[in-house]
Amino acid sequence: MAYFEINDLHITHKSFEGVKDVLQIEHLEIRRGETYGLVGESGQGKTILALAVQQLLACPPGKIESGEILLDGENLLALNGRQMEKRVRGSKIAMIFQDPMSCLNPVFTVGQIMTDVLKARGGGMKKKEIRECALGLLREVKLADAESTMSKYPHQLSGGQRQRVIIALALACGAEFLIADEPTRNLDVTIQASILKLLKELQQKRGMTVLFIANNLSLVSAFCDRVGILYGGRIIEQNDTAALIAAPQQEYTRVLLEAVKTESRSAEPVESGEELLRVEHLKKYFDINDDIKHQKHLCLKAVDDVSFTLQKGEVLGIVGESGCGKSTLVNTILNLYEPTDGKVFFEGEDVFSGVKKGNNAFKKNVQIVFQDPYWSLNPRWLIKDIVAEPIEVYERLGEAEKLKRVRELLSLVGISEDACYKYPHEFSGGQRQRIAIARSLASQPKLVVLDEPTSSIDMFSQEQILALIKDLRKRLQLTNILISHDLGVVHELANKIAVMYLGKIVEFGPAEDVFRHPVHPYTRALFDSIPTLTTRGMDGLKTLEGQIPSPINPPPGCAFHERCAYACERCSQCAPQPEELGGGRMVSCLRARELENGGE
Amino acid sequence: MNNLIQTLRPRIESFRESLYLLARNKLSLIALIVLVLLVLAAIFANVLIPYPQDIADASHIEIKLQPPSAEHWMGTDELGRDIFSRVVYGARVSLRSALGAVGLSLLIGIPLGAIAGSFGGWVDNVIMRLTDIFLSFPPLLLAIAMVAIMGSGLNNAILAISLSWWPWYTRLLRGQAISVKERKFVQAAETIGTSRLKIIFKHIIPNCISPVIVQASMDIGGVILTLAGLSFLGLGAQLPTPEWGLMISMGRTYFPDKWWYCIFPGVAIFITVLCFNLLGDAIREILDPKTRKK
Ligand SMILES: Nc1ncnc2c1ncn2[C@@H]1O[C@H](COP(=O)(O)OP(=O)(O)O)[C@@H](O)[C@H]1O
Ligand code: SF4
Ligand SMILES: [Mg+2]
Repeated sequence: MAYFEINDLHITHKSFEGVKDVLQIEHLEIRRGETYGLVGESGQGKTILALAVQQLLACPPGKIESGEILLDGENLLALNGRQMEKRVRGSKIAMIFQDPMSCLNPVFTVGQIMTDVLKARGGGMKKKEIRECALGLLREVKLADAESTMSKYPHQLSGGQRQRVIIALALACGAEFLIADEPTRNLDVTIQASILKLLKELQQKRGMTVLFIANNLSLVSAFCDRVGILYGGRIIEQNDTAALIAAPQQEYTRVLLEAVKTESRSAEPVESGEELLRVEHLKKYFDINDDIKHQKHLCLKAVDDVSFTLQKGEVLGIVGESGCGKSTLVNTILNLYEPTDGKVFFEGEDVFSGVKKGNNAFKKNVQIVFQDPYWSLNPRWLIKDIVAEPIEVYERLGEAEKLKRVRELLSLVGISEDACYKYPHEFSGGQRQRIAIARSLASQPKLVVLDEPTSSIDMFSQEQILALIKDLRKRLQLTNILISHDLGVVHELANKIAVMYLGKIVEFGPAEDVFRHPVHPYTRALFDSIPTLTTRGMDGLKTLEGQIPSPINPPPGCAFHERCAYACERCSQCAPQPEELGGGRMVSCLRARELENGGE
Repeated sequence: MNNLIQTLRPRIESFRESLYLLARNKLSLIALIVLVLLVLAAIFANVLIPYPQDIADASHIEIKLQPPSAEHWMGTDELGRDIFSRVVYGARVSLRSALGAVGLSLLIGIPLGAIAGSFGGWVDNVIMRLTDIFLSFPPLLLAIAMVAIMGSGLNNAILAISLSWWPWYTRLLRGQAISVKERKFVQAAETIGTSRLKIIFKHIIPNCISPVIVQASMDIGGVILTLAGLSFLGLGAQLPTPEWGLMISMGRTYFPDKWWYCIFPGVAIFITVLCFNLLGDAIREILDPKTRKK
């Protein structure tokens, strides 16, 4: 018998435009102990479903028109608010949200938050017992230092640690049914792998039933027994994971599958021989004050001695866990940050001294597309003004001519012309990113930097944006720097790769070579932690233990030695220098030669 | 023409949405209707009032201090003037002065706040210390002091109120500007090469303005009160201007026997201020992106 069941659920949303159907689910059932993956892009109603199950959906504007949600045979929709709170929420159903920060109250320590939850459910536990219980839970979710985590505030934790605390909270009440709403979105691949592993382990240990919501099929395929595809508020297909991947019935499912296949697609190398950008020993240190420990003027080495060259027509992919300095590197190259030391040459000219002299040519030639297209477009401007902004700065054009150029640019990125007189909020994430790209092209730049261009938009649009970037590159002969923590994206577009760790480039080389035969232990760990469609269960997934050390106090010797699987004695004493391996390969590792020659 | 329609389309759309949001809350809808009526009354006061000559120095001693009746809905004052006429005309005086005072404060406060917030450093320091000085006096006291220096009169009162009021907007806008400045579109404008001034006026200010507008619409009520207060003390509007505060001040000697002289201007102030506060709340709700659809 099904443990969790949804029948004929129909939810509508009312706005000034009228009433709209957001969710219509005929039938969905999850057996006890099963993991069910619900896959769909953002905006297809995944979160609405999760909220409706918990009766947390805001009504109005939402309205549950009809249907039933059965948990263990009991219709949740028939319960009133008090009953939900006392009997279901927390005690039977627990939920993990996609944004761990927003569900932890920032003014309380982790210990206080845990105590509150345990008190509310526990029923007459003593103070000491509660503390023991909280510690036990934190240990259960494998937080390295449970004791000290108890006294930390949420903002002092990293994204992965926060998500672990959330999981601990979800476990606190012993719920049997867990709803995980994109729990690893915006987390690094390494952390994603360890969170997934943890969830799987806990599920098996506690015999929980899990509804796992994701926007990515490869995550689900590794994690779930059965999968349902949500599109336009309906479940268009559901099946056992293996069967669904082997024989998708719907066109949309095939698109989703296509989106996560990374094999056999990668950019061919470019040999133009013409140097466009050269970065020499670039450093960017931030002076920071640690208000908590009252230490003044600490030095945070966000970018530490980085050098590379980029040729015309190439795409350089920069990868690495968040906080490793990718954005700081490009922002410093772009002169948004004052560089601490080092030089940047663009077409042979020294950029920093040029900018000091008030030379605007560099700004015209180098443009950037930011990660989040919602915030990178001024919400109060019309699209035509947004796209025309660079034209205003660099060219004096009449109104009509300007409009013509804007239209050309928009059609170049595949946005229809009547977008001109709309505002950014009228577009989806993917469309907004296209508009941002159109703007970045308006000054006819030679180098376009893309800082995580796809990480805040859904899978389906990601594919299209990637195709667009590829297409534009060919047509306009652009050179690109592409930052992404999604290795698939980089694999597809880049012909050079730079792997960053703690402000330094640890491996640099032609993309094909690096992907086929990663040398640096960090690169290897990074590649191994990505689930693919062929990953079954969690055993194929290697995780990188530990966290990135603080860039304020990097460990001595090789900064990676605490997490490195290949570390030897020398590694903690002697800092590796970049070493040329031939074929344009550069690796910073003491054991680079051994590892290159197949050392395991 | 086609272009014009296209340009207007999103605005019409968002106006319709605003109305929808406003109409959802009955109280704010009522406030809006009352205020619209009030504004109409203020604009067409000359035509509407039954005794136009009574708003000036006319005197009909023979009918002085009569209680409300069919001819004089709100009774008459000590010179026999029709209080209804004077209260309706008072709407024009109060609204015009309040809008003037708030508008002037905004005109000073917004650019200063935006400049302080986006430049930071010593510019910020100088502007903020200046606001500190103004804010260290109670606003009413400061206004009284300034009127005392400049001489009493409606225009001076308006000026004095603006001068004591702008620092609030400067602070509010500066706080917003500091956070908006960190938004990506400002950084994007910087990489594009847009000039500093243009960034401030075209990118930063339009994105900081919502809370200031909410604050301003709530303040209109407060300013009407302050003006009435100054006039009550004899520092604002002068006789024979039909200003509500001044009328209460004159009627006070006859209270409570001739209650209508004080009560009706008082009720006018009460309703106006209440409606502006309710409207401010409603505007905040409308401008809040959370209540708007994505
Ligand atoms: N303006 C800043 N002031 C101080 N520290 C910063 C600033 N910007 C970034 N950092 C620090 O520099 C490091 C690198 O950050 P970032 O370049 O954003 O990494 P990534 O883009 O790879 O995620 C992080 O430790 C971050 O906290
Ligand atoms: S130097 Fe040592 S610790 Fe560092 S990556 Fe190489 S093997 Fe690992
Ligand atoms: Mg970044």
